[in-house]
Amino acid sequence: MHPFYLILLLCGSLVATPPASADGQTGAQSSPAVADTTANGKPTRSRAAQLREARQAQYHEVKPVERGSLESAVIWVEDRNVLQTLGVVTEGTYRVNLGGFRTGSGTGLRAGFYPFYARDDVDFSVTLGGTVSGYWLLNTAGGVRQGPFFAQGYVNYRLRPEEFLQPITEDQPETLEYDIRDLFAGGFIGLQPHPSVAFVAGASYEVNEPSRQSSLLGGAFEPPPGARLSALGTTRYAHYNARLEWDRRDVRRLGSIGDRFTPNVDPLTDRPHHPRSGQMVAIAYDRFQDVTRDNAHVNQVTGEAQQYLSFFNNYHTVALRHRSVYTAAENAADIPFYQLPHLGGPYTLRGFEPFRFRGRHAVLFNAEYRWRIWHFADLALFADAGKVFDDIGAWGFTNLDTSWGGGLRIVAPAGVMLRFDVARSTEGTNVILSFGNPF
Amino acid sequence: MCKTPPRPVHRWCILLPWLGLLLLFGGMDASPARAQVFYPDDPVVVDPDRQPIEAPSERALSDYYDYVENGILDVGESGGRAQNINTLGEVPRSSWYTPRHYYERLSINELKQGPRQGSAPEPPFRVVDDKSEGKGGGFWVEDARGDRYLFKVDQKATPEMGTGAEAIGTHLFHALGYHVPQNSVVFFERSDLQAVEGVTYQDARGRAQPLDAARIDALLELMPLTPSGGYRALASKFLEGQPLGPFRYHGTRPDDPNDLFPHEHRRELRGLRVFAAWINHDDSRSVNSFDAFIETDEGGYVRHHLIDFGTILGGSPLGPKEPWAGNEYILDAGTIVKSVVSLGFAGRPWRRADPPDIPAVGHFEATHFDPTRWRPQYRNPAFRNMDADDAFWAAKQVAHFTDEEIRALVETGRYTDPETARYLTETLITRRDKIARAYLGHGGGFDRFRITDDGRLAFDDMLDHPAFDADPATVAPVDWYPFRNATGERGDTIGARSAEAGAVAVPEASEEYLVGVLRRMGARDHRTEVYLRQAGETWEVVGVRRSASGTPSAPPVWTQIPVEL
Repeated sequence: MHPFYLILLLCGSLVATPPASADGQTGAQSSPAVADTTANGKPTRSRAAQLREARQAQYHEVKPVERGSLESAVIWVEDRNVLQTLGVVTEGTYRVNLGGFRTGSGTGLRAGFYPFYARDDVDFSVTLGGTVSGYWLLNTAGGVRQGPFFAQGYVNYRLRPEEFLQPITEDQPETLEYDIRDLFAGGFIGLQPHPSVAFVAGASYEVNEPSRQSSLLGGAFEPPPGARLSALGTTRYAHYNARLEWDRRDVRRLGSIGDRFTPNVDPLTDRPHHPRSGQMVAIAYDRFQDVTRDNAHVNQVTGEAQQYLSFFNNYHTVALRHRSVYTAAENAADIPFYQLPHLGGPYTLRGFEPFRFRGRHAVLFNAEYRWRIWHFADLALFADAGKVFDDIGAWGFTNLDTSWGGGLRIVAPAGVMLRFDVARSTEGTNVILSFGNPF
Repeated sequence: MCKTPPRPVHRWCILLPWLGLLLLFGGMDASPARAQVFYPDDPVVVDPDRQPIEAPSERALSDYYDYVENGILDVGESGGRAQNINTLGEVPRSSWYTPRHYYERLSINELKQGPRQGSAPEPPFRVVDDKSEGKGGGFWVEDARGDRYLFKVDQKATPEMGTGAEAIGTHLFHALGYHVPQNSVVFFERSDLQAVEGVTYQDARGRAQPLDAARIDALLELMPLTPSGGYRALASKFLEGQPLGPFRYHGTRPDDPNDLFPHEHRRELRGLRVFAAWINHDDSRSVNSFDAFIETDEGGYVRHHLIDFGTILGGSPLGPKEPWAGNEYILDAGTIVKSVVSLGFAGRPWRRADPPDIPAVGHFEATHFDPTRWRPQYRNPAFRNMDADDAFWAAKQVAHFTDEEIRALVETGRYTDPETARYLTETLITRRDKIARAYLGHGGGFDRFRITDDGRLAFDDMLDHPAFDADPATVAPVDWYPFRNATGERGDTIGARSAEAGAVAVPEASEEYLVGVLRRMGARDHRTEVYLRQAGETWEVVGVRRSASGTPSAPPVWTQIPVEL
């Protein structure tokens, strides 16, 4: 054999033959597919030896565990309890909540101090909030609970830039905008003989001061041109209210029972949770006794019923709601528009703009089919129907304004965290991004 | 006339033909066709992965990142057979696994004893820390002997749910061969707990607060009372060794040279999917594992544990499980799409499941359980790699538990209501049978091959099990072949022998190795190859290979040391 080829063959053998380890045996880098046999085919090594040698080979490759940048970032967040801290600020002594206040308020922040949040028998809170639409509120409330009895006192101040859209007369502009400042202080006592039943009676002093929106900058109040609502100046009421509620919805409520029953600008509007089964029936009576214009008293009765039909382990829910509002003034007095029930917007007739309809009386029907598409998300198809009217004889199912649509709801344990609805009506399409269910 | 000059030939090009010859002769040993299959010590029963090493450093694992890594990122190698198995397809004893109940049946008492060594925790219990990790409540105590325990407790609304499940899971996984903590249900009174001077805990805002008698009372206030007015907890003994953090279900620890096989290729982790499905351990994630450095005279090694079984069966520390737990990944795009387009009526047949109205059980049922469709919370890389061999390995162990043994395991939950224990036992039995039907047919359903005293090859018929309504199909005559170990090649048939009463005669042969092929009448694709090696005057079973698609063309390979070492 030519020496060149001999050298070549030897070199090739070196390439093809596994390197020898220190102990003279074939190195651990060898695959078990490589034969460890003698010329007669008998195996010369053991499986266990291979396993040991493979590990010995790794001794020289030992290196510390290194984290990637993504893992380091996630651990940074976890180590500093960032998410827990966020949870704490929404539920602890000091809270910051993101969301809207009411129809048309837009998104805002509300910061609160709840020193007795962990107690069931005592309640106190101070909250301050504002929204991108210019809503502001400052609420202070405190209460006690003893057995089935509870009581709460409160002082609330609100500034709400509110739209009044429905033309009153032919020559009225389509849209008029007002600011309304509310100040109300009062209290109530309540009885909850059963977890599903609550009765509340209360009294408060209220001041409502409407002004054209420019009044925020110092402008003067102007009534709507030709408006039939003459009593649009500042009103001062002694407000008496009573409410009876039967609630068997499967909701997890946060906050105290006092928070739920503090009079709100939307009667009977609880924080929208995410019930999947059960029902709720409530009726409220509110008497606004005018203390400045002796006879301009307003009485209002609001009834609401909700029914949730769930099937297949709550993966499908049919949600139904009906609300009726009856408003009456004594002595033929005019009713300030901001005391009138309204429809339109993300919580009532979703295909219409907020405050699209105002009238003495209102009737509203909502139906939703909700189904879980993910552990943290629902889809919904919905239909809304309702109307406002001045003659109580018009109550019923005729001449209803309707809207329909669909939406996505991001669901957290406490309820709907984010809602994205697209609603269609005769007046166009509304895209709604909101915090919380419509009901 | 212009002539293009010839291109110069690189001098190395003349070596190419020789390189081919070189590969032909010099590299022939690397060809799988020439692979030596069996080594003298096959089948190995111990994987020597406890060689002394220096202590690795503790590696924390973020709970969030665990989800991100396994739920979103594509981690681990996909596909391929398990690598850490011996030539019988079994998992050798190692720092991960100890063959137990299937290989040597434990008595009822041994099953109920589980991993516990010695007696139960002994009061009084000195409360030495709050439980800050995990979702459930509890506290750390030192008992009268100075042993340290984590007392995990139930929620008021779901008494016995978490503690009972954790006790059952502990004893079950111990019987299945995994390293688990010494967990047991204990009962105690308020007077058994003692505050320790100077001990503090961190409140929700990270501030140190005294862990005094008032704090202990506050913790107890959150616990349900037992019928006798006392308290109940799951006592989990502090694990031996230096904590190193959880292991992952993919890759290896770079600081542990004994960690040779990528975890997604370990059979005991791939097959764990079947065990997890059986008891609905959907939280079988990395964060619920634990590595500990065990010191020895020469150094030490890393032992790998499964921990935290409070989320098995139908509950979790936060209450009953959601219906999707065990049926859907936490992020399951396919199911979401089906649900969207079908208004929620497609993609989730299990949503019709009707769990029992038993507070300690939660959402655990067998009617809609399908082991092949069971899902953990995320795409566990090892579970994802589970193949028919891994599933068979696990399913035979599940099927091995008798009704009585399952009942005994459920009794370790120490439920007050007999209806709870009855329901859990029956549900586990039904789920066991579904697992058996789903996986035991692989390769024809044969196992426990052994040579009898009269020299015949005996085996167990895995389909002869209460899970199967009909008698198993007849075993076809076993074909025998010579087998050349050095090359992995099978010779021409040397005849067939009929199998009777779970045994078949081994033909007379001068070969060192024989291979017998078992199958059932009418099921030609499912077959099991059994490799025998001469051992003096008789034979020994040295290898088993199962197939669901006829005879594999490639030589058998079992232990596969990663080639990139």
